[in-house]
Amino acid sequence: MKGKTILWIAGSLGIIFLALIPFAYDIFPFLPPGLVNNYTMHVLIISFYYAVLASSWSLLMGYAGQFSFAHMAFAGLAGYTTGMMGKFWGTGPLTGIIAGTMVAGIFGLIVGLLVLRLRSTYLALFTIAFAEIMRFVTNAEIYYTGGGNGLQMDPLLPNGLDLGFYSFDSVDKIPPYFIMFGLMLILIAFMSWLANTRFGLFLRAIREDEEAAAAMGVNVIRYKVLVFAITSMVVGLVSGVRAHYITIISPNDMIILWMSLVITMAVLGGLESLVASAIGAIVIFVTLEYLKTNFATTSVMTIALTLIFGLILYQLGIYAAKRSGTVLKNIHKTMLSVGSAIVGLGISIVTVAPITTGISNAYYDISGSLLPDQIDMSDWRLVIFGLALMLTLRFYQNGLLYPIIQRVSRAGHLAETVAKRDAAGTITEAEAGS
Amino acid sequence: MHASPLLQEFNSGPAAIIFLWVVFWAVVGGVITPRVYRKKDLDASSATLYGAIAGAGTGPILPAYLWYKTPELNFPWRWSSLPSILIFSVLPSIFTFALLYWAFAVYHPSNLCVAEGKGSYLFSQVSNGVLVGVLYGLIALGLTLIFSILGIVSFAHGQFYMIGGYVLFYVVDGKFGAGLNPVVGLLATGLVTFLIGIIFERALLRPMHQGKVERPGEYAILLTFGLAFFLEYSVQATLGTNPRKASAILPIGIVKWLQDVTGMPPTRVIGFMIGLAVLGILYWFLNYTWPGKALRSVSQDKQAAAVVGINPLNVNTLAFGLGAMLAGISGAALVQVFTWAPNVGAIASARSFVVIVLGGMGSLVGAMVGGLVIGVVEAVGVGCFPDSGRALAYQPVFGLIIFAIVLLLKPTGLFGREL
Repeated sequence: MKGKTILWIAGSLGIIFLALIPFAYDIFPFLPPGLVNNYTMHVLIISFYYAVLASSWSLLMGYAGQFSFAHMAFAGLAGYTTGMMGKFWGTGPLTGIIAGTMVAGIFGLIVGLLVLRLRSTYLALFTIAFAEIMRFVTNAEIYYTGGGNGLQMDPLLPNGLDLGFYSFDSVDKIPPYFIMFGLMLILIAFMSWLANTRFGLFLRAIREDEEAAAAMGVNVIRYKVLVFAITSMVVGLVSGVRAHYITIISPNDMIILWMSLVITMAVLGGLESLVASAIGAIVIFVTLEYLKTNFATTSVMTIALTLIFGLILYQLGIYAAKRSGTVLKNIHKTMLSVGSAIVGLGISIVTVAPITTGISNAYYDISGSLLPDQIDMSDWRLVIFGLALMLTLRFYQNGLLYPIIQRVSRAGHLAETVAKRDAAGTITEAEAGS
Repeated sequence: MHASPLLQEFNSGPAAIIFLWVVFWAVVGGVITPRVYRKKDLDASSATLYGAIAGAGTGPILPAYLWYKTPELNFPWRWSSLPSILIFSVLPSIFTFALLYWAFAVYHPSNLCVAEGKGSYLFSQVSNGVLVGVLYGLIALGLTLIFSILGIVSFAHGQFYMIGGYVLFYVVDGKFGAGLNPVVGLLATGLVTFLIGIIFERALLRPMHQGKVERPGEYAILLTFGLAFFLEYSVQATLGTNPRKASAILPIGIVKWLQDVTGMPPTRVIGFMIGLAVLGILYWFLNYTWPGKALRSVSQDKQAAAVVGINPLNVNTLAFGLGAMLAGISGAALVQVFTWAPNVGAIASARSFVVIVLGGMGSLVGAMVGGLVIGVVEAVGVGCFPDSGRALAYQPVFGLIIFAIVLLLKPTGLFGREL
């Protein structure tokens, strides 16, 4: 139980940390200015949105094994529902968001019913078709949806929020921050609870073998449709909130790029854990935003080459450790490989930086256009994530975060089991002796 | 209720009645027929499809016959089954088209597609569609080849197509690139995409076939999806998003002559001809060379192929490389037709999915037929859409709707093998 306690403490600390971010300057006045501002708050709010998306996608894909590309389409559907209700009927955000959730749920139900017969590849293709049709239609029906320019809507709190001792403006970031944060916690808790009940068990049974599950008495049709409806309602709810928070929704929110980001987040975090994929989503989204700016070419090249050298040396260390056979103990093997990686990193930091600077300066002298001073990372960051997705799938199929969480939560188990076995052994010996 | 102001000039009432009649009977036929077949303990695998077509075309008449007599619906492609094919699929389909056409004519009488004496307009749309359709089929050929051997759908297919176009552009174009002969460009395109495909398959997809992966279907989707992401944004990061437009890759005299003879855009005709040539070479390769025969044998029976000394793993690699190469060459053939940007890949991918699902996954003939059908449907759909302002925005939707219907009614498509 020791490992679980550590995880609980870490999780609570993380939640408290996120909850205190808006008040950073009130608590730590000595923090450098510009660390927490409206922009960082905005990034975090959107990252919470993606956390829910990735988490619900891993419920759909990781638990139920239903590969769907339609998540963003459901999100867009809910956003457009509340936007169009506001535009044509003048309803407020709350009504709109609830209606949007319902519409997303109904469409999730319909899609879930339609795709009952389809499996992996066919399901993915059908959901892509659904998502693309939704996007093209919203793009074309300018009168209703505003077309490519997007649909304007009310802010989340049109009249601001008055707490008595302090009142917030409608454009203040703190209320939406806590609304999104709270929604994320509630929804992930809800989905985790769901995954731990019989419902989650049935979903996993369906994922492993549909016929076998049906033979064991699982109502396959009901659970498959239900999981589609539930995940799309969850997505619809946060999407409505997000649309009202940024006050605009456009067909560009539904392109496959965002869907693939959600998929990457879930895979890198760990498909079979809702919390891991949510953490993965937050980390990845913040990283992506950080990488959006220009970087000096030399520093990018330095980092890339350093990483490559470090990885090569790490692999060499592992190889050497493997070749050493029984000469070294396991712990020494780990130390050898990690140590060689660290040494590699150190050497390459010392040597690579001057080399890359020299190369890029030389190129710059030959032709100024070949290597620019600054690299715009906004495309390269996506390349990096594509690569990360492929490599993670190939070498860490459980994701990057989930194995760590599992390892920590099982930290004390080995010793505990050994102790139990020893205790049992002594008893039987004692019994045998007597 | 706010109706779109553009739609108010049409008589939607009567048209809607005809349309709903068709949809209602299609749904009734599609839902009830398989139940009747299952109740009588018969094979219901095609009952949904034929029930839906029968309902759509003839209202209650043919479905009632189906429910009463429950004839055998899985007819083989033989002359003896021609009457059944005519009665149960061709005639009701024609009736369905006629009814929908009628509904459309009632809805929008002044439309160029239904107005009297404007048959040539519809004809030009269809011939345009055929021309584009062959090109669509060409793009999808590689995808269907990959599916027939590896059993996966490559989501990175459109990105190979995009890369092929860029390679040809930068090899052939005089202003931005090397300015070499188009033939060199085609060879370079084939080589580059083939190599990328082979490296990817060898490094990342092979473990799937060796049983090292828990859920191979999802693994392949995610992996090829990651590759698509990687390729598209690598190109975007290195070459930028500025659209490129290549000039026709043949000498200007031949281009002029082509335009005079065919009366169609010459770049498309050139693409069409390259497509036919590639098709011929592929046919020769698959039927008369050793690797081609190995490919076909593995697609028919993996175990039997392994018994006679063909290594299925190597054939997988070859097939993926070839599929990528076909995509790249089709991109090279089409870079002179369309404006080229890194995001053309995603559109081409979506269209190839439509084409191969319609034609039947894994069938080369099916890919060409599916390409033709989708090309014609898109051309006619755009040409006849009542509101010309939105017609172009809806272009891919016509194909996607057919795609969704095919997936729901008959996932094996026109020429596909049974699942």
